[in-house]
Amino acid sequence: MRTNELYASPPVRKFLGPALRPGGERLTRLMLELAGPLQGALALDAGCGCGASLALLREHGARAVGLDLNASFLREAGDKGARVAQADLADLPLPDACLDLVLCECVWNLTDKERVLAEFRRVLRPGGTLALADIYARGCRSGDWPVRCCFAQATDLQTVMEQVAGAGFEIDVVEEHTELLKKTAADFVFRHGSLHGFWQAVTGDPVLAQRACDASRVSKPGLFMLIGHARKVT
Amino acid sequence: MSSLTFEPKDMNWVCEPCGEALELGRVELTYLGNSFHVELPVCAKCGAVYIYEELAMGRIFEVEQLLEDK
Repeated sequence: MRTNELYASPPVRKFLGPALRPGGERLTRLMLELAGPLQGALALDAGCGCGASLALLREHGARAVGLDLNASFLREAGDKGARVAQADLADLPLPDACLDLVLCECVWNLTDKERVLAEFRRVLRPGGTLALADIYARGCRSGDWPVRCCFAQATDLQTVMEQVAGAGFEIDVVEEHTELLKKTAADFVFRHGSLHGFWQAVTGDPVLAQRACDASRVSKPGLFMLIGHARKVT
Repeated sequence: MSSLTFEPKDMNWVCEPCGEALELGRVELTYLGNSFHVELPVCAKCGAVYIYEELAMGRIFEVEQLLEDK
């Protein structure tokens, strides 16, 4: 079955498993270590997918809930016992200042980014933590991507930091983890013969596959991780 | 995750120093700190691995370029 959403496509789901993102559990664990003590913390996994990170949050002692738009993913997460609900991250069904941590992994680029950052700021208590990981563009521009994916709205890292700071966050850590993205892409090359072969498996169309390869060449996707805290209003 | 198997069209290969017929075996390919677990023709006696030209010039070359950021 072909889809216009990269993360839901069978070639990606089959290989990445429940994590649905490059870096998988390794990057999530690193982010949670940097996020600070999580025992008893009230945490949101924003764009929780099938619940892989919710399990890690619970492992760290957090009281974790997940939100996602994809009903099928939510069913999988719910079947594993996770507390999840369907919601748009640009309109969080949560009161102000109720959370200690928002975790958002390879989802932000799929959204109305500034609205979502504003919502994250709203629902975090002053001093609460934002743990954000996503694709950024190391090249000159984001490229013309033929599928809905985390590459399509990726910006350079300076713009990411300006947007996060502009939304009311102090940035504590920014790290580059592009090696994890390259490893994932290399695994896809081994599996599908080439990057073009991978994109053809996703889109079902060699012309769209070529467009994706061209977009990748132009944008040179990278993977960043950012930890910040909600600025206290004085 | 299961290994990928890369088998040349003709498996009738013999390791010249050992005289052993090559058989498919698990191999770890590493480059720039990355590991890939695949199955390739291997000499059971000396461990020599056969990477056929199509694999070297195709998948492996593209992986190298990708990891080198080219």
